[in-house]
Amino acid sequence: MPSEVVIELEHVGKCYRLGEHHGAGTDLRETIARTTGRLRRLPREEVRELWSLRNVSFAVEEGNALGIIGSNGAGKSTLLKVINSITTPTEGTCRTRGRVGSLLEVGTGFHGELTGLENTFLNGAILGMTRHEVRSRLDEIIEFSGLERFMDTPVKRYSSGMYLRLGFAIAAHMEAEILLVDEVLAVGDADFQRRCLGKMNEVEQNGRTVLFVSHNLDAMARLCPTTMWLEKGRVRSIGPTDGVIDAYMRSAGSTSTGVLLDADPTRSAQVVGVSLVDDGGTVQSILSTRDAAWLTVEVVANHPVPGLDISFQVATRSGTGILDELLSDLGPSSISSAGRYIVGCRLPPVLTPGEYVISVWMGTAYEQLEQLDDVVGFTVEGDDLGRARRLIKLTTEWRTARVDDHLVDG
Amino acid sequence: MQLRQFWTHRELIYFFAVRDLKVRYKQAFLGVAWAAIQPLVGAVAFTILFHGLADVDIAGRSYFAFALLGFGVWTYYSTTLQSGTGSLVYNAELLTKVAFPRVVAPSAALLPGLVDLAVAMVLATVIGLASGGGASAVSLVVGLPVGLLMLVIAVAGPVLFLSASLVKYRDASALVTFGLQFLLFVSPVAYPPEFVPAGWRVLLYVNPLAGALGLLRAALVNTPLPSIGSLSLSGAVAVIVLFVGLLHFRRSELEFADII
Repeated sequence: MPSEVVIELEHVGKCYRLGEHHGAGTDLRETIARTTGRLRRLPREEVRELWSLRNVSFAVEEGNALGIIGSNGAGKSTLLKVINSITTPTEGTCRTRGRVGSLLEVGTGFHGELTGLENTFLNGAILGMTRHEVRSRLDEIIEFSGLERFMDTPVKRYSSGMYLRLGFAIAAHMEAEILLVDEVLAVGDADFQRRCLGKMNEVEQNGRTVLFVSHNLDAMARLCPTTMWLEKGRVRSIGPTDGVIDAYMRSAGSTSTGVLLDADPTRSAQVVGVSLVDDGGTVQSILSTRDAAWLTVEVVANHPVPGLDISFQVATRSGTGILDELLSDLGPSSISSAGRYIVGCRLPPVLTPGEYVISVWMGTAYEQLEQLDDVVGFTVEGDDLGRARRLIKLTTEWRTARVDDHLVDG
Repeated sequence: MQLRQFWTHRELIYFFAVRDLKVRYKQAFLGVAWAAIQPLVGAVAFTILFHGLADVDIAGRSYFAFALLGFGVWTYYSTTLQSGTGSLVYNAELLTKVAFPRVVAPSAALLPGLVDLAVAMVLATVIGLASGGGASAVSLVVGLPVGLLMLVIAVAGPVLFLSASLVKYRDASALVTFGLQFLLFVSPVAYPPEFVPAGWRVLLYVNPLAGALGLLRAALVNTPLPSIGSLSLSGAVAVIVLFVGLLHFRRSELEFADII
């Protein structure tokens, strides 16, 4: 029996206009000025169009899980917003059958002054659950969140982890025919992540449909038989997960040896370049297992930023984190004054052969100024010495001592 | 379509309203007592200003009870218009991240003020009775529900229109502040409709608030019921504004998440 199609998109496009209604609401005065300008046949103000999605067509059958991969800005989040009917497509049609639940932005709509219990009912109603539904699942929700003792505490006293756990628990217990999941698994501790993945597995096995957006390609390969690769708002390929992930990794690895970003003089500080350079100062995309290298960023600080700090994260292409190093590990920030800096972090020769990506964070203890995920990729080549399972190779210290002297003597 | 959404999402409307009520009274020392203090203080001010100094009077009935009810109704209208206008922008995070019928947010904003209004109505009725008033059963049974309905519709129309406008134009809130100042003078809140010369009086009822005030006062503090013609005018304006507001809301809501 052929399964029913529950998500169907036909030539969906979503266009955002930049320069108009951008960010906060516009002034009535601007609109009047624009309208009168048009009447007086003045040249129209330049409006830049950004197509976040273009000509996206696909269908998902009931009970299937579809993974969605793509670099930042490829349109993954916009796609989920269209399917969740938070925003309407500019062109094309999007049809869904059944209730759409989402694990995007869990905990949205919590009010700090209300208790965990009050927020559970409020959030449930926001997600489309009836009071009766929430009440009948309340025990499960509380148990899943692990917050039994805090349900009468206002959520403003919750830690961000508790907040997230409660939000996820509510969203995950909604009976939805279609479940949208976006990167929630990137947060929370390992135990909670495992429970989340388990919950998703369970949802899928119950014959419901899952759309999964993630940078964690390992999890995607486990959960989704089919994956779609979005690039610049278009479908680059769609098919069996292994093949799509392979193609995606190859493409990402070959293009990014170093990146240069546009300088924006209105920002206090920003990263303008990220690269991996060898000891001779040459940008590299391939390292040998024996070579050390420098993770390097170029930073422009237009104003002094006290306590400006930088961190590098190195992860495998499939999303397993290996290094997360912070400049301030060394002591007080050395890049607090305005200026242009090149900051390097030495990457010792510990990586095993494989594909890696570098992410960069810049900010202070109070704010994040930059978060560039998977911005540069590189390959480590060499012999794994037949030990393919290890993630890093270290020069480990060994000791041997002979302890059977009396036996030998005897 | 619209009505079905209201019904299926009545619980969400309820939870939004309860959230706003609970949040208002959490960590407040006087708590719910504010609902009684505000109209009492307002009525005292009205009585000194209009009754004492400007010599406004209503034949044979307690001016204090009359002003108390007027102040309660005015407070409901003005606070609801303000919170309702801001209801979408206040919930901006939700709008961009969760799919729910957008009309729920301004609809829920119509409810919390009714609690304070109920307190003011009870106070006005008790004070009116104590000072020898007392309304007929007929005007109570008809005037109270019809008056309340007209009041809610009178504020719902502008709330729908302005909340949708505020998403795009943040200066809609300045319009509300300015409009309310003007409205307080042209509405028979502190003075009875008879205060306006008979020839102009019908103009007073172009403002649906005048119709709602007339009905509620007739029901609770025994003032004469406005003419059927005046009430129909108020009711018709309220309903027309509601439809205009709904239409504007419907036409704008598709792009809320993109431009808020």
